[in-house]
Amino acid sequence: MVKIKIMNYNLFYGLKQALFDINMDIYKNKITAIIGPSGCGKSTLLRSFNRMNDLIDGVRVKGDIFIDDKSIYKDWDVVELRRKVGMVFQKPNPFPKSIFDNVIYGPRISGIKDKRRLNDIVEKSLKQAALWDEVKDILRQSAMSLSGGQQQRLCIARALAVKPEIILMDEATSSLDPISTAKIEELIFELKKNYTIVIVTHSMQQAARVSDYTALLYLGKLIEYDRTEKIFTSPSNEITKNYVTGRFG
Amino acid sequence: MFLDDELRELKLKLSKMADIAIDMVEKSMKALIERDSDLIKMVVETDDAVDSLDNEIDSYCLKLCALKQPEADDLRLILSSLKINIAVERIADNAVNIAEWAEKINKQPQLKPYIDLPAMKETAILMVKDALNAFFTKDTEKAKRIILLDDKVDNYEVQIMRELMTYVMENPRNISRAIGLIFIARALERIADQATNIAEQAIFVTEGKIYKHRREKK
Repeated sequence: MVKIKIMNYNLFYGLKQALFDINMDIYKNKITAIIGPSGCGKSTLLRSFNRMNDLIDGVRVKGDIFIDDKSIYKDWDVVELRRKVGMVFQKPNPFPKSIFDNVIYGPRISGIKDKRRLNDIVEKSLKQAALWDEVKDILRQSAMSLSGGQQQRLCIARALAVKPEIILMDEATSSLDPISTAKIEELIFELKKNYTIVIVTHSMQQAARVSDYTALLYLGKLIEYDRTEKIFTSPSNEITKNYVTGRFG
Repeated sequence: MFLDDELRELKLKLSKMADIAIDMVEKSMKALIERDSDLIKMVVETDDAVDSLDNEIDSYCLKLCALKQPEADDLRLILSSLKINIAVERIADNAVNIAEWAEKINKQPQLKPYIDLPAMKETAILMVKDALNAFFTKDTEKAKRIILLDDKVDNYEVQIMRELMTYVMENPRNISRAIGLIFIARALERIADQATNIAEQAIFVTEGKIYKHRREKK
């Protein structure tokens, strides 16, 4: 089932075109990886899904993106869209607040005041992010005291707390050590039961390990998009073949 | 941890294929000894199932290597499985050869009582079963014993060949049946060779040492 439908999507930073005529369906409850060399437009595409690019001056788009068959530009309220589409960034960016306050930041802004409900949200989100056992006794401590990997899982918990349906991860493990990376990868795998996940990654191995579908972008164009197994065992396109075998990029 | 389920699945596929191949060898020899042509047909038809599992295992290993970046023990298990896959497929091919020769031989009266061939088959099949068991349980001692058993099968082949040559010299009308039986003995010898190949992989997977070609060098 298609969750995100990208149709003839073009994006310009001022005069420079960053994405060219992208057409792509992203499936519900699957993990989709976007790979490609630096500057190919993969983060730009990812940030389009919750209109994060709107915040950049001079950006304009042509074409459209549909989430649940509704245009993100015409039919979705942008605040509601960003609640539905959570995002985790390259570097863990917890707020300089307690672990507890980090997780309930979103729910609190959206007006939830009931303490018991907030406690439930914290526990559930931290459990989903596989962090609960490690932090349940130190919820009032500053989030900054956690390790990098824990901080990143906290950011995932914070994203989950507002009950999104789609989670975007932009290089979410690139600043983490291999053990923390493995934990996050396992977590991504677990989360796909309930969420649609799109990851941008520099690591082809990571795309191969965790994703169901892989898209290769090159110079702003979608070169190949297929089941991950197909992309990594017998890609159809010469550019894909050269990229996944490490011959460029 | 990440690969455990996949490797279990791979072992299951291999063991399923090996069971079919061993059964084909049993049936093909029974077809010869009991002069049962229905069994011959069955063996030939079953080969398709082995071929399709062969392809399935190849694709599965390719997928695991491409997507999961296996290392150390995991990597060795996958590489060994690819080789064992070839060995088992050849065991099944030899079963088909035996069945096809049995069909030709059984069109004529039985040349002689079969004594050494069934015993040779028993040893070859025991070797295959034990080699697979050594691979699955990582039992290198058992694997090494199996490799030594190959000499016993080779001796059977020489003995059978010598005996059959006396029938050939006695009467030229025996030639076609004798040649058929010699080919069957050769097929059994090759099955035992495949068992030693599997046993070598059991050692490789457990100890990480390449055990191939050691006997030849000695």
